[in-house]
Amino acid sequence: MNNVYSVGQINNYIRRMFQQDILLSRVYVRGEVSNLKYHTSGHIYFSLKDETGTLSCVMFAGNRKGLSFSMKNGDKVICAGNFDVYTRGGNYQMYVKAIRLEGAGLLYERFLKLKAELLEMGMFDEAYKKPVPKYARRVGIVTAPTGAAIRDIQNIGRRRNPYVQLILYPAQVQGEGAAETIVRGIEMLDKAGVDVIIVGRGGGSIEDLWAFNEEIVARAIFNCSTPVISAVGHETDTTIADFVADLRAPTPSAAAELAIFDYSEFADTITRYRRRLGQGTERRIIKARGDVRYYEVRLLALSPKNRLRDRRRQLADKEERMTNILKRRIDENRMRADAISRRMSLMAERSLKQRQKKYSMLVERMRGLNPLDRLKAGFSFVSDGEGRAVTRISEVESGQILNIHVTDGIIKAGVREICGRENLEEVYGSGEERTDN
Amino acid sequence: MAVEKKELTIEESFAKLDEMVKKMDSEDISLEESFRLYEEGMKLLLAVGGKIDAVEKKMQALMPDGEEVPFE
Repeated sequence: MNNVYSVGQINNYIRRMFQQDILLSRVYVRGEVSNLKYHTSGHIYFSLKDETGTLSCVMFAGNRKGLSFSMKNGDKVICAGNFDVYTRGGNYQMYVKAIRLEGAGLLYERFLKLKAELLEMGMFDEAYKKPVPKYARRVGIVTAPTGAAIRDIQNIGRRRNPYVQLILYPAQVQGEGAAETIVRGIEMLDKAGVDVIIVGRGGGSIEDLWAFNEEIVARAIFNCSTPVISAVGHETDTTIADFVADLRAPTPSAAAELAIFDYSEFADTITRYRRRLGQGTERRIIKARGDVRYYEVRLLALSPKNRLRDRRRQLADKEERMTNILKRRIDENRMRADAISRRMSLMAERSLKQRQKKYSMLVERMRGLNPLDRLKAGFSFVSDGEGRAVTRISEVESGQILNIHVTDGIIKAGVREICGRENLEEVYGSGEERTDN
Repeated sequence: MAVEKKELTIEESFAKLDEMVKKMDSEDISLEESFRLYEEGMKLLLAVGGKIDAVEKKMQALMPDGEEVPFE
């Protein structure tokens, strides 16, 4: 008996055989879930069975992300993983990395069928969509109390508007009975009186999101008198709830942004209106003030007082102008009169002088004519006995007595001889004539 | 002025304010009308502001039995 091996040696030998097998290192197995145990460590133990037998399976906690739905006994699933030997139990088992419901394809068919039915019923009609209020003060939320969705909504609420009351209905969003809790949440929040309800959950597989494709959920949303915003999964996920909701948000965060108004924006709006109202009134007052001033000026111009003043001013102007004209005339006349009087006095003066001159000349001449004066110079005046001046020889005759007037008396003389001018030379001799007076 | 039948929502109030401001900016509005609009507008604004009590709210959880409890 040379070939005797220990248990460990054999188990390890078999284990190596499993490990070296290419097929068993990555394999898909179809079966029905049984003996399902969710261990507190996070590991999941279960068996896959079919009509021929069973297969032990384990999904370690580290691989839990490969399970995106709540698996339960009886589920028909496809597991992906590898086989290995558990040496302590001496048995082999499947180490499962991912599990899918085998009916996933069927689910999609069901989804399409229900969608077509509800569409036919008109449940997606725009006419039934209620407007989502812009300024909701109470926002209801139907989602899981744990998970990213509610945290995201809460954060956005804190950031945008901490004064909005958020009310969560803690629902079960996947697995058995999820649809029923969602329906109850919608109904209770509707009754509690909120302005808008967000219904949703974070991302997941079609199985995870399935509750939102259930007809009862669609009907609850449709019958809800409060506007409903659907927010299921990621942007690419579309559920029946999205079609029937009053508003579809691509994600829970987006739904929060739509449902919760930004308080600072709201405050700004109020401030802006206050300012505009103030400016509008002020502008109107300024315009009114301008109007008042305009009419004031116009009225004042038309007032009797002003008219009187204007008239008075016009009158004063005219008066002044007339006075000026009169003054000018007076001045002109005075000047003219002055000129005339000056000229007249000048003329008078001139004529007086002339007269004086003339007079003195006359006096001179008269003086020259004074016979007595002549007598002074040796000339004498001869008159006949009757006082007649003797100027010609013919006026006398020889022997006649003539009166010779001299300066101091009369000489009576007798005419001895009468000679004509032609004989004068005989008397005086030749020489100058001194006959002129 | 007729007494308002029902309280306006914030949205309706803002819509009304828009109208009022537009009216106010128009050329042919009377001074009295502008004062009236201002008064009414300010009243409306006050009412709108009063609709939002500036008290921070804690999220509540509405339990299946209808009880509301603080949610953390």
